[in-house]
Amino acid sequence: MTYVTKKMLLDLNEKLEEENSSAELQHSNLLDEDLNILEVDESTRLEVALSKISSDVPRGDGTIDLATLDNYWLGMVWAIRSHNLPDGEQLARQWSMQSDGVFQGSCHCFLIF
Amino acid sequence: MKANSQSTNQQEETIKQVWNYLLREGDPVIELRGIHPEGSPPKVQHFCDSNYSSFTELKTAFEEQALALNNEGLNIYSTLNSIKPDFCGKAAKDQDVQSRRLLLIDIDRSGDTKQPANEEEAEYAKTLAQEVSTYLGILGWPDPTRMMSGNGHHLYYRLTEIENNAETKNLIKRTLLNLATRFNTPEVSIDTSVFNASRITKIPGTIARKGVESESRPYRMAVVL
Repeated sequence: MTYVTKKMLLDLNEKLEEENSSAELQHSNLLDEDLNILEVDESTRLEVALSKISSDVPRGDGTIDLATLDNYWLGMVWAIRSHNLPDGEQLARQWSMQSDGVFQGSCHCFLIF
Repeated sequence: MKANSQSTNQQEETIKQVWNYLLREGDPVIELRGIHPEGSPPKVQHFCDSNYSSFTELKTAFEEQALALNNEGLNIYSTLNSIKPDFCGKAAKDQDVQSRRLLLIDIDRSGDTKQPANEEEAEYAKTLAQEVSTYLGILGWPDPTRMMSGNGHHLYYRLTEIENNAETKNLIKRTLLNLATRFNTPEVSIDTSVFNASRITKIPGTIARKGVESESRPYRMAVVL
């Protein structure tokens, strides 16, 4: 056989479409796994970062004033929430409970998440 | 092989390869298109068998004119598929093509292709061409004619003179898209735009001039491997 027939072209397309569709599905699954890895990594990073920040501060109005760095409890919780992590609420609660200072806000985390 | 190392004799010998796969005796009209790399209007010439006393005479005229235009700095092409005998016009369009007789798989580096390819990029294209032809060979496809086009690699598969119509156009387009999806890499890709019937392709034995030549990015002669 030295020629390519129309049927061979049609068969090739059928095979390639099947392979490409399967590869796309696998790629999609890999992406999902990658996303999970990112989430775990980001959670870990966030947890480490939060451990360096005192939660012993007043509730505040939801903003974080870098000039004064006070009254930022609510601002921090919202910031944690903005990452949309599956364990965001837990991280916020954990962070909030690392201090037994004047504002015991950890129990309010669920209202925000 | 670098352009500056090509002798006229080498070009004259190599251009004869075109009659083994692209152009053939009995083609009523053969189109020669010289395209200036900087975008000046192309030079188009038609060689009609009725104007020559023999096919040998037509072949000689075509080869001489192709090399002359190439030496003027133009890149030289001809149509992938045969042109209808009653063709009259400046350059062949899709409706002027008799039937589909070749499938071109054109493999080139991804991204910016305005300058000549370097050796590494040319090697990527060669490797992918090998990969595609091996894959198709496993499926029972015949060995293609392989050409180093100067910057990339071409695979030419002979078709059983498939009718030139919209259905065939879509089938060829779909084939190239599916192959590209399957085989493209970040470095090298299959050109999915070469599906139309009046597509032109590089003539072996001619120097591919693209952008500015340099030590690492030389102009090369297209050659059938």
